[in-house]
Amino acid sequence: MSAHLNDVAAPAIKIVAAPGGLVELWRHDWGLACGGDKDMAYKPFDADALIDAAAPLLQLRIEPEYRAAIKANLKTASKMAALIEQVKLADEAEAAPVFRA
Amino acid sequence: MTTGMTDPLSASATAAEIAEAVKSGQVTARSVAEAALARIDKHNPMLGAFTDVTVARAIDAAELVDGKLANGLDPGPLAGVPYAVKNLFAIKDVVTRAGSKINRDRPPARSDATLVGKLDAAGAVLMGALNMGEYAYDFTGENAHDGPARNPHALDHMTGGSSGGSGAAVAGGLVPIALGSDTNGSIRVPASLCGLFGLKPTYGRLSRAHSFPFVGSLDHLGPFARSARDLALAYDMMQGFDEADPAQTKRVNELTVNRLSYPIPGLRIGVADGYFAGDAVAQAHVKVVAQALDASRVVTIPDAQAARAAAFLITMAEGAALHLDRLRSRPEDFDPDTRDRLLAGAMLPAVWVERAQKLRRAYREKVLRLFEEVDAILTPATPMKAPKIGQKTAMFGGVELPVRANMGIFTQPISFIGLPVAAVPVWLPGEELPLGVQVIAAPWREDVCLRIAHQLETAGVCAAPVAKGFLE
Repeated sequence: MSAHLNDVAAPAIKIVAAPGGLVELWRHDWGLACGGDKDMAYKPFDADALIDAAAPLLQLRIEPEYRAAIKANLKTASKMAALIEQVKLADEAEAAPVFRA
Repeated sequence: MTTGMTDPLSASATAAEIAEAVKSGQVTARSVAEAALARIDKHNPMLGAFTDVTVARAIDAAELVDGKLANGLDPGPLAGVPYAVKNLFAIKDVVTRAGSKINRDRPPARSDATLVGKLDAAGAVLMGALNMGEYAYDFTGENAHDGPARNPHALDHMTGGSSGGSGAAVAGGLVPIALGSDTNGSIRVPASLCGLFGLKPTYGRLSRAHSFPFVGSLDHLGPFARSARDLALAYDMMQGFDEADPAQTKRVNELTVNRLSYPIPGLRIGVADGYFAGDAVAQAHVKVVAQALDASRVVTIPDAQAARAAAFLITMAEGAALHLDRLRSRPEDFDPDTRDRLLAGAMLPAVWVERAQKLRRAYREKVLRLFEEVDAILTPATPMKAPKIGQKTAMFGGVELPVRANMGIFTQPISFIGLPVAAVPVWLPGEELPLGVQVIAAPWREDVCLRIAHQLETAGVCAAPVAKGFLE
């Protein structure tokens, strides 16, 4: 993996073993060693599959020249989601769609 | 002209100096407007700051100010001060393009944005609309349809975005005050790269009514200026409840100009470590400010990296929802960089976004607790100085990463929970380009940010000069 593909400016994150979680998927996708349950059938994040499933549902026309950049953005998003998953949240945690002081 | 006074008709005159000169009869508002229009005419082809220049409106507004003065009326604290607004603000009879090709097919706005109305009421004179990154989804100041705004301090370098035209107009001396929007850093990034003072107020403080949105739960509007006093003046004049913005506070106005000179030693100021301290160049600029303020406390902003990630995902999803119809009907008319991020945002799993929103509340509670120990926190505004226009990647912490996605890594965790921030410009000795420092305070304490900015300016630690080559 060349460094320039890693388009999230992030110091090395502490990988938390979470079989089936996004961090594990991310590790597979980016070729990192996996310490999870070897019997689990992890698959690399397949951005093409997501695009092919979601675009018709959303009635979005994806021209061939759009695809590479959309995939790159989805991979970045998956890594962001992995970072978020590392923060433990209580079941009672409520969303804050609008900040109020 | 009295020795030591700035010529109020010059590029480097501040808003406060212009207003004083107009009110005292030293110059007319019309002569100030004409001087600003002449500078715009001369320099804008090079800077790419303005997309619309409202000449007739500016002359009319200036004559209104002069007429009030002739009749013994007070034209307001910003009498005759030229200003301009990012082109996502509605300006009556001007198409609100929001940096896009698509929106310029819309009819001209029928009324002004609320903040334009407030500045006009204070006697300021609107000069026009400013270039910006498409739909504000940008940190570069480049625009695929209108061309890039150029950094007046080095024309082949970015202004930063998305309020790039605002940065270029003020640093180039075309106007002393400009307004921008800041969703994830779009005031603070260009302020950092162009060497300006910029204020992102508390979420909900200033009305966003009649401005084109991006991410409603993150959008803020605020001013740029070349002095902290001008920043405070503009901010004070724009406060006030507006029921047209559903997120706006009903707090009473809390004016800041008269508090600028309150002593700093009573404030507890900390420097953020960890996530914010990874880049040596950025840290060198923070150190200058910290030393001047005698800020020896170290503050750890918890979960900042995850907060930035959450802001990133919420922005993708909310932005995509806003533009879904346009993505369906006119994808070819977007800037490809904007379009492809929005298309990806439309496809995000809902649970990622919900998780991000939950983290947002928990993160907010943790960060607000820090303000029990400190009154202000210092961090870099950007991880680097202005990259070259067209530059796609840069070194961040020793790794080559895309510029567009990463210029906001230090601003996003702060605006994510709506904290007020003043970006202050720092120039290291011998350096051609500046880098800004964020002065972050607790909600509704813009006065703390602005006091610190003013004191740093007064002490000569921060400065926002008009770029060489644009003084005439």
